Amino acid sequence: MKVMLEAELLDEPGQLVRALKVISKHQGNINEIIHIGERRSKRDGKIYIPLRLIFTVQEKVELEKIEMELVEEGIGVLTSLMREETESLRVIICGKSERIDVKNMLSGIKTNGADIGDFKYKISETGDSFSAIFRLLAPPKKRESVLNILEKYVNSNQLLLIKPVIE
Amino acid sequence: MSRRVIIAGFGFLARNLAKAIEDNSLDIKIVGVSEIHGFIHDKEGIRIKELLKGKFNKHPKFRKGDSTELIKTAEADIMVELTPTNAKTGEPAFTHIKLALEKGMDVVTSNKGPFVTHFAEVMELAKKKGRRVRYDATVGGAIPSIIMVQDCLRGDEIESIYGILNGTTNYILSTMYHESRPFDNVLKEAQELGYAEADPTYDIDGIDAAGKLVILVNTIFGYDKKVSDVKVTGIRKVTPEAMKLAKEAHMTIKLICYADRDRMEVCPMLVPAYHPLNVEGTLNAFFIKTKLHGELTLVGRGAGKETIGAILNDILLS
Repeated sequence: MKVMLEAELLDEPGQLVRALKVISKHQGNINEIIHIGERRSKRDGKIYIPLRLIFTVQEKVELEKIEMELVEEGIGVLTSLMREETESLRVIICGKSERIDVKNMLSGIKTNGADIGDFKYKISETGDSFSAIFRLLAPPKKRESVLNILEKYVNSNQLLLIKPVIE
Repeated sequence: MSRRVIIAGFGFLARNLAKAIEDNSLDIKIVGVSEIHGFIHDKEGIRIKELLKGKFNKHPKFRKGDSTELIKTAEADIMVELTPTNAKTGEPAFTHIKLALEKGMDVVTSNKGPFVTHFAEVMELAKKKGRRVRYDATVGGAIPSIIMVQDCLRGDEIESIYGILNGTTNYILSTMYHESRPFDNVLKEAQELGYAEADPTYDIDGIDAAGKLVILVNTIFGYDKKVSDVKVTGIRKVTPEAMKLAKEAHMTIKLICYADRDRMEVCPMLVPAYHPLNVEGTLNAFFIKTKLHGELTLVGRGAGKETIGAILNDILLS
């Protein structure tokens, strides 16, 4: 999970290292560090600089520990945002119209932690075959399980699932 | 000294092979040729022009018998196995290969059968006898696929392979893409043009492609996998509407063979229009990801007389 955390550091040597040590101790993987110099402030004769740290953690509990320990280290946490990264996977489903219950299929995907985007479909002139293309939006960890659910649905209804070769 | 070669199976490929040897004045002496009714054996070397001109059974050196008799009788360095493929039993090619190896010959073949059914057995026997079995033409026809993974990527590690390894299905899907026609209609045309068999099951249900994938995987990773280990989905259910949707998304649908160390699958997949696997008509393509070389792609004819190039190269390497 990607985290954007803004912390306020004392403008003194070694402060950034202290903050980074806390993040790394809890398996945080730093992607980006941005000094927000224009938002520096002065209190009690000391200068504080906000810092935007972008990193990834495996679980939410690790972020909570990081936040707690930063505060214990005297580093102010201004804000933190966490979002699950999603991967977009374009797929096609096709088969006999009578065998596809789109609503049921999509709700099965959504209840398993994925979302649907760019849904488009076509029905043959005779009306007997249905084909749909859409994006499966799922966190990388859930990608395989969501695809498995889709495959199960497709197999049990004698449909065809066409996955992307590389995207 | 000339390489002494015997050829088991004297059909389309063998005739074109003999012609190529003659046309290119290669230092290869054909000392025996067999077909279903008998064989021709001449230890001094069969005159190729004479062999190609007349009827096989009217040749002065023709004898009734079969390929096993020729292999047992002839003194040769290489046995070229070009009999029709039987993917269920691997026969008669498997027997021919075993006999040739036992007799101390190297083997060159385009026949998938023995490698789909008895891969490890063939390789173990070759190793035991200190001989080489070369089978580049079994996968991707003219594409130097086996030779590339065996000889051109030393010190590297292959992470995954993707292939379009069946020309019939690629022709059908390419035509569906360009002409927005239904599968059955294009299949019929492919049969009329000779691109698909009267019973197209083997091609369109992905079995042929799965066999080739098995050969590749066994070669690359040293496994002894079988077609039954491959998850296979054919192209029968691809609708013209699905193809249109793919096209509108700047993609196409291809029957892709995929494998890595843990997974083997043959199924229709979405391929971006710009991707090197997007090859047309009956062409085959072979795309691999390696640690050092990165991504490599080879494209070529998967069947037909171009396959002779791969067979000839294997003979000259032996």
